[in-house]
Amino acid sequence: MVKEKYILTRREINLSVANGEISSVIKKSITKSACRAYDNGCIGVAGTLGEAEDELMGQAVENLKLEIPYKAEATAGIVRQEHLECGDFSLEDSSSFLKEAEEVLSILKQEYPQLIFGNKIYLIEESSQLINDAGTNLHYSDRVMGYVLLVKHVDSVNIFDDSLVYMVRDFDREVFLKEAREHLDAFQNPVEMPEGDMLPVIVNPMGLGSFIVQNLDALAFGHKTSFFNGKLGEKLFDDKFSLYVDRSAEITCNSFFDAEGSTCEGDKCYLIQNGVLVRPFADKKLAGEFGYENTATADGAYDSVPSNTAYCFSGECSQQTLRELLGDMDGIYITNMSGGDFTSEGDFASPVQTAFLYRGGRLAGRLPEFNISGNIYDIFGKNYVGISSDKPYEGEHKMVVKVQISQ
Amino acid sequence: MYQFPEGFYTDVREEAVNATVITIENGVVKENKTKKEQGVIIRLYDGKRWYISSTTELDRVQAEIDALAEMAVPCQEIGEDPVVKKYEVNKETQLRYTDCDVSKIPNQDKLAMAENYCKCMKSYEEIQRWKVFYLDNHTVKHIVSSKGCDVTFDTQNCCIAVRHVLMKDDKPFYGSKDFYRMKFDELPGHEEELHAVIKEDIQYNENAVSVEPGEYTCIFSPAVTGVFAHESFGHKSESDFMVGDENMKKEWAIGTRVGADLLNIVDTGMEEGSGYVPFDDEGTRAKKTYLIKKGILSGRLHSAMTAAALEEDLTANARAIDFQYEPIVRMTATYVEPGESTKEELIAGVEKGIYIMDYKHGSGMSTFTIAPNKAYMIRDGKLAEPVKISVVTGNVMSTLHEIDGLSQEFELCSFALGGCGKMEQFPLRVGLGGPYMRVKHLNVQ
Repeated sequence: MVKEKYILTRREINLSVANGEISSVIKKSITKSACRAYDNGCIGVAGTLGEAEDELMGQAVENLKLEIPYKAEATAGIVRQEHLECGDFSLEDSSSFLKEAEEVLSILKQEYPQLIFGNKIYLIEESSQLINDAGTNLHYSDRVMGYVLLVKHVDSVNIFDDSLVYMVRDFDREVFLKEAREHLDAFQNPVEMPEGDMLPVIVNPMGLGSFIVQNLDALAFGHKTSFFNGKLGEKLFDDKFSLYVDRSAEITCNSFFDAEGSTCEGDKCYLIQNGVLVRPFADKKLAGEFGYENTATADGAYDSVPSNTAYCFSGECSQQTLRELLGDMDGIYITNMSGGDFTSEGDFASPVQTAFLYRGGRLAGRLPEFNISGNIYDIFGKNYVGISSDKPYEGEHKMVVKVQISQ
Repeated sequence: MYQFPEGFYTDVREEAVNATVITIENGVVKENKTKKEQGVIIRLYDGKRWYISSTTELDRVQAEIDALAEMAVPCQEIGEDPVVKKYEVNKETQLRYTDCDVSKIPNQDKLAMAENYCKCMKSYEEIQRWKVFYLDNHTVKHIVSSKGCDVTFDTQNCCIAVRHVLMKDDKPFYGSKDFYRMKFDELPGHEEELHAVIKEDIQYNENAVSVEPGEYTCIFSPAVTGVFAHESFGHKSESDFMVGDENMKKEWAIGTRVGADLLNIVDTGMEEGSGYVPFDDEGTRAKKTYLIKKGILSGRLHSAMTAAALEEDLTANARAIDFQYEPIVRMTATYVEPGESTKEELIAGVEKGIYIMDYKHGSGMSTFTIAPNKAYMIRDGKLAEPVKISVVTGNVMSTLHEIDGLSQEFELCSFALGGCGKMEQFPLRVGLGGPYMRVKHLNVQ
């Protein structure tokens, strides 16, 4: 029998913002602990909020009687620690964080009196730890600070019009304000849609990729219910498009190990490489059951049997900045697109609630609402442009694809 | 009990959760979890700002109260603060589910319940992958405040949720059915209903064709009517979006016509189901609030803070997803009241339109969206071929005027999985529903 502890902690100060003022100061200190017992191809799990006492492991052993199958070995013999905290702010010094937030909000309010700011400012510290008596001891921690502000014009009758998102490890006020000013200046400058019905849009790399990810689940592949059923090894998308499981420090608050203690070589595992579908994503159990490669994608509630979960994916960046990717073309930077979906044919359509004209390397103005559509094979095939090497907005690389535009 | 410091309003919300999750996937039990969780959130208000702490360290509540008081500035007139004056001082214990507490049901009975529904799934060779979930939850909340509130109440649900995947020409179709009940002994006996859903899904998947995009008159099922009410108007009724915004106050003045004469939209936590909350998370007793009455804006949803700011009455809509979060203004069960037509009469009045039977998700800003899961053309007043649709959209404010028919048939729907999301708080259990509803001039893609 192998016994294992899995401990997740989250400490946080978040500031609620209403009408540009801090209305609440919220502290959190949450520890979630699980004990697991592995024996005879089964797993027993027991969890508790707070620290795990000895009796919790006894409960996990007792739960082996429920005969939950676990056809894999507990992760053995891996020892690694990674602690990524950096930056000027700490949870122990809440007054510095509060002062910084008050000053930044004061600047935004002064410079943009016609805009109303709300929602949250965060300082978050997360850690995950997995230790077992098969010699595995994994520990990860990270800290991020940032703004997730909703923006509304005083004349608007919407509940909000736009968002200003910036979550990073090493917060730099000037970098944030430079980006915020470009964004908010453009927000207040309505412009017309560029001409054409097939235009390049700038989106979060995974913003249009949910359909691909959903259909790359090893469970769907194993049971032949994937949209990509029978297409493993085939070239389906553009040469420039690669998608991988990303357990690297590039993503904040993203542990290098999954909920089963699995890791990827180089913290990266390709699912689509140069347009070719190379493998589905699979946790340890599915990898064993269907003969796929373990891609370290187990997750779930702290006290659950870990299961394969679609998260922590990245698209491969190009060697070009956003401006270089677009060249002489105008781009449409989408910040708010909700409600759309794919049909089972892979056809996508969605309204775009907030978007900006990107021209000459900066945001030039705010566009009216419009609709976009396209088929999954076209979006990531002939209409795929690339992912920027730089992080021009929101502390993220941005993806450019061409889609059908309609009013 | 706690020593509440002078010069502040303070409240403490303790939550104790007993829950079971059983997951059976293609006949194999993948999860069988019983858990007990306890946590506390403490809020302290000095008249200018809230100081809040959530913790799993139950023996440190008093220390946390004292630490929050150190961060705040005492206000000797805190009792006269408009927010504090709004709070109801309820003293009541309302434990509705003690006699039928699901945490007392043996695990093997719950497993047998789930396995019984698995038999239905095994009888269809068209289903290539399926999951049956058994889920239950009994939560007891205890809220005390420095103003004297002391309420204890419970909520409970037990559910069977089915998810299945059908394939046709290598294209997957995702079907689902939830049975959401309050008591364990209400869960058996729904096999025929499940069979009917699966048979319809199989027929739909075999025959559905891509829709011809365009503008259509649509008829919504009760669940789709509910999500429309929730997304298109419910969120706009959450008044935290309005506080301090003079333009919004003018635009959304009570008494403004916002929809067709026949339209009534209600929010209430008093109905049993996934929107049931006898008290909100500030200890305010549940109420019935008309958001729209006969097409006229009639009310909105409040916490004590927003009710004080807008000088309106409390509505018991301050809710949090759990003890880790502060209460914010949220819906409970939101529905459109029934009308006078029948479902058949509504369909008969449409020459060419679409019946939206169920949905994957919805959203609502100035444009509302519904992503249908199953939909059918209506031709010459009759249901016709099934169609695949990416999204149905419409302008929220104009669409409310485009409603021209409501059925007598009414359903308030509850959901086993998922819920409503707002800001960082997802998922929150809510209910939604209504009659069959006919809406003109919707954009279908």
